[in-house]
Amino acid sequence: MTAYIINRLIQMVIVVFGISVIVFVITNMLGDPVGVLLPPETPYEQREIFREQMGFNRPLIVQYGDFLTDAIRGDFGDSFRSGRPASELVLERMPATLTLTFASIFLATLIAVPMGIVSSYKRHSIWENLATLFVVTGQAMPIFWLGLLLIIVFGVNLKWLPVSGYGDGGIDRIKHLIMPAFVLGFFIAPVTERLVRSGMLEALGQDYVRTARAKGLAERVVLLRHAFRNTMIPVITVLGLQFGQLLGGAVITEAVFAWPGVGQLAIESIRGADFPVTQAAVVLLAVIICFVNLGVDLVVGVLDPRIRR
Amino acid sequence: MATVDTHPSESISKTFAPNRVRRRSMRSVMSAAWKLRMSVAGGIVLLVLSLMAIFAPILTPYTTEEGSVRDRLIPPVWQEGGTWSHPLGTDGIGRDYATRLLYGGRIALSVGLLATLVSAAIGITLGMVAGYFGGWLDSIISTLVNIMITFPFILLALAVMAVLGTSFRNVVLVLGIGAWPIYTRVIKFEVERIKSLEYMAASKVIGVGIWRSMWRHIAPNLLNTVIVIGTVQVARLIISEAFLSYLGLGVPPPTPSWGFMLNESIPFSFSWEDIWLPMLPGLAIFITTLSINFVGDGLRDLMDPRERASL
Amino acid sequence: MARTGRELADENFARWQWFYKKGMIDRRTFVKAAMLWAGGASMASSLLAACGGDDDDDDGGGGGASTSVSGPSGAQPTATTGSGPAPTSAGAAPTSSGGGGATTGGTLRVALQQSENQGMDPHMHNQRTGIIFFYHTHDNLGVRNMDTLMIEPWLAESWEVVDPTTWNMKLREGVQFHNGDEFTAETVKWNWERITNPEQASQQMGNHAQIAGVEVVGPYEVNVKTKVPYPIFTERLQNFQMIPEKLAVAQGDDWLAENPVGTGPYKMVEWKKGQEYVLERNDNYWNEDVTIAYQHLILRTIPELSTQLAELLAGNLDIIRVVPFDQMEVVSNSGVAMPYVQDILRVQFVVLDAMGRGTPDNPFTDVRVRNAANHAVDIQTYIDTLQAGGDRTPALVNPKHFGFDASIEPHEYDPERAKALLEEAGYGDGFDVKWKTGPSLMPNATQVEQAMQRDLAAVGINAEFDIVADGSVSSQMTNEGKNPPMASTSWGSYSVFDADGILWDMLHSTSIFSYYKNEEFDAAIDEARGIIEEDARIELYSTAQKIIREEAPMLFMWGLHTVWGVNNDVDWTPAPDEIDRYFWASPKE
Repeated sequence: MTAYIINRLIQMVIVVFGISVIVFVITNMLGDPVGVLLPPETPYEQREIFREQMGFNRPLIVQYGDFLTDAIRGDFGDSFRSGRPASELVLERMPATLTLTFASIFLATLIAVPMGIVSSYKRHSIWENLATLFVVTGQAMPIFWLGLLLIIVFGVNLKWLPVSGYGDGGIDRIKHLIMPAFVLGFFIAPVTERLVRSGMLEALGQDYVRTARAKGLAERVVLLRHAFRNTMIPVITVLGLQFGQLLGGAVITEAVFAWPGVGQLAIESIRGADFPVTQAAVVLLAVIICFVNLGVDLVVGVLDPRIRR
Repeated sequence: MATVDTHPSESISKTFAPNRVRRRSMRSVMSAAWKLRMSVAGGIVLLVLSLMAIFAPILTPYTTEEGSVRDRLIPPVWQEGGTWSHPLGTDGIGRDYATRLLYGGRIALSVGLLATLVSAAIGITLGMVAGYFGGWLDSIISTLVNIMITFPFILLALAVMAVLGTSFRNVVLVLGIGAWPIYTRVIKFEVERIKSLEYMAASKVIGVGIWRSMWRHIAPNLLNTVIVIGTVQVARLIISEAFLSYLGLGVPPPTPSWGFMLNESIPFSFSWEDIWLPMLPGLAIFITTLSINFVGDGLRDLMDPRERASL
Repeated sequence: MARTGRELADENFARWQWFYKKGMIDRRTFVKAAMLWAGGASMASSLLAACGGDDDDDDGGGGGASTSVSGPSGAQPTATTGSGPAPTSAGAAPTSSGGGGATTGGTLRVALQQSENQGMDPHMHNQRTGIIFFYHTHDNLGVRNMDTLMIEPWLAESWEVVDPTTWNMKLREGVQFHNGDEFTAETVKWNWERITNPEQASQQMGNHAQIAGVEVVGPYEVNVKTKVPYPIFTERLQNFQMIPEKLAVAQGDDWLAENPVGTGPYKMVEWKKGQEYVLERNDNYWNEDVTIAYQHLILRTIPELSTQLAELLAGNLDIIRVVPFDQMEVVSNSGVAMPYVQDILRVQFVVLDAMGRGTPDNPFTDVRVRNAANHAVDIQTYIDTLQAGGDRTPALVNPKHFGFDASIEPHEYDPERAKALLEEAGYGDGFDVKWKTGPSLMPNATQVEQAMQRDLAAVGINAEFDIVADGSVSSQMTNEGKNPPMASTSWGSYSVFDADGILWDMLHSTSIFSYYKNEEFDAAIDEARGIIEEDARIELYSTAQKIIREEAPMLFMWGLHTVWGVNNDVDWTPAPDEIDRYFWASPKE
């Protein structure tokens, strides 16, 4: 088991490293930091002097080396816009994004898992078609539109829920969380449902299920205790894999609902050519995703005795 | 022999090519027929949409550009102020909406198909290489897959567009690059599975080239797999184009992509009179995605020999 | 000289009526305009009937009129050479209803689009939202009178020109910063030295490039020396906030970036990072004539405009800075808020690479091609149908800028002439060209640009959009001279209501933004920025504008009219310099 963990950790490091290279290269392609930091009317000579002072004229590899050595210690430089340390900006937004992400996973699971179970059991029924409809709607409805429609209905017209924002903790926070978590959950629920269903179908066809049936166990027991437990493995795995997608959807959700998370910060920083913040956001998010995947693999390893070596 | 998958990732490949064993019953036959009917219905809808997109120039007298700003925002014919000369109304600068929706279908379908081709090409190649050769080549490719999954798609899109500029071609490129990992994963396991089968060893003994025999064994399954993954992907790609538009990186105006039309008209959601502006492209996306999904489901059931036996 | 809101509304309405009668706009647009200017849908329909148009159904639930408050479009503010008048509340607040608004509690909620701004140090930023924020927490030496558009003393008490390069300024006594420090002559000197110090690297340093030095003459008196005679000296005063020097030196720049301490009407009491800024009324505010009605001011970050609109309609926000053009009706019908149209100083245009700086030998290096492009686009129709109005800028200068030459005629919409010109220049078959565009401050930008693209294509100019979705605006604009032959831009002149504020930066051959070179033009505006006599300057600018009109280095568009949304319970109107002053707001009686 330990060997497995170490192996996965090494893999994780490689992945994060790879991502840091890519994001570093990309941000440097996106614009010229000198152009962002200096007022627009600065003449060329001054820009060149500044460029040299800041070290922006060194080869990218050298600059990346500096970036890496600092990043390992958690220092991603200061934001070009506000001057505050980039890592501080990202970390103070992290709780908001994580809250949203886990809330939406929770909601998605709540919806998708029962739906998947039911539609796997009642094959070719109206339920299955409803599930397909649900799946497709979730895939076909862009977040930014669904979000606005919900805002208009529940926030403006009915006034049951707040339109946007973070809320002031406790019940107020939960009220503010409902719509964005639902929208984001709706984003990943379809694939999750599909997976639950096919996982259930496969499990239902397995030998041990037939054995359980032959033993005369109640259908429900067969369903829930045996098939379901084995289904959770691929489901959890995929939820982990979807985490990356989820964060991508969170970016837009946070923008629409003015939820002060890392996604919103990332978009602002990309639009404002604020490289240190972009780099910090992408790398830190990557680390989180990797940890989540590691956690998922560990949980699965515990659940599934066949994997443990 | 039904293999019991041990690796979680393999379950994913099973999702797209499930091995299901079902009992036959009257009910199951009827519902199978029902399911088939849905797929056929989906197929017909898709066919109609494609034909409408292809024959757009014949179906409408307008071009996607012509119009005058003075004729802007004419409502569709079922609302007050609508007119049959513009049955689905006009947009913010007076262009016929129905025309733009039709041509938008071209964009949607071609983006979906082309990007799928790109991602399938990349993904399958890498998957086959990883599965066949194994070893460090496999490690590198798997790491690449992990990176691609972890890396935020938005940033990738921004980067490509920033360097290459926004255009139809680059949208296809970005979407293709974003979507290949899943093919690699699935194909790799297929290849590994086949590699281990006994008749591969037998072929070796006989002297038939490994590569060729592998290819021959994989190919039919490959098509099956690609179609199944592809149909899911195409729908997702159409939506992804809408996301790119939201960021300002989709197919650039004035080309009428549904994603762009939707984004442009989202603020009109605030008024009942105007909501047709975002609704129509939204509905177009929805119907297309729905029919593709039904077709995909049907195709998958057809492809799977076990399923076919029970139909 | 100043026209009232009422007169302006009537004039605007008459213009829309004329358009409608001429068939230049459709009924729907006219009703929309009528509701803005004439006061309500029912009034609009009766007016329509009077015009001989069809009977219009009542749009149902139309709100009251929204009048625009603006400076007179023809007025030309002049530099104050004598001592300015003492500040009056008229200088601080526009004609607002209800005298003596309650100064008890109450919270005003306003939306911002960005969360991470450039820090709380007023010298270290260059963004509009920064300026607005600092107008609330800090004070400037001078402010603009919204009726006359002239600069009047504020923290300064008076000023006068002693000799061509020296301004003597007497400062107000008894003004305290939020932390209790006194505002003195030393403060002023320190602030000026800080902002012009190259090591400080302030983004606003260039605005004060002509300041040579500050001399303390008395505890509340300074002499400011300029390098050359500097007529727009006073204009710069309205965007230069005072920081308490002792505190700044003691705490350092990093502390200043997070703690705004000024003399302003509000002080920041809480900063929920990423969400909102909470400001509280400064009960010790030095100007007793200014009534700060709301005790709390909350600036909430909401990145999506549609979400801001939703909050306004739900009654959760009092003021939003952008109402999408086609949603103005939704707002006015809502019964919760009203749209307010304000003509502002900002000018929208498309830069043509006349110099060949980015693309040598591109078609726009030929003056005939540039003029053809200007004749190809139906600017006035766009203004009437796709905008809530706009002011033609025939030679780039906004009617609000001092020095605007009203005698210059804008390019007429004449596609035939455009084609003839292109033919003459050898482009009878048209040409392809890239047009850079991106996030814009112009309302309805994508639609306007697509309409322009269509009109250009009709004469053979096939413009392909090159969309920039990211990157800061300033680096986009500069782009180190690598812009494609067409590039959309807008320019707010740093709120300097003087032709120099736009002509020099955009068109002087040595300006980093400029893709145009003309020595005669350079000479004219160089001379004009170095003298003080108004008449001479007006003439020089007239010459300059005539050159620009003939040479057409830009695709001229218009001075923007932008649309704010204001809750019905709040009495507030926007300002033509785009600097929102929320402390003018008060609850409606």
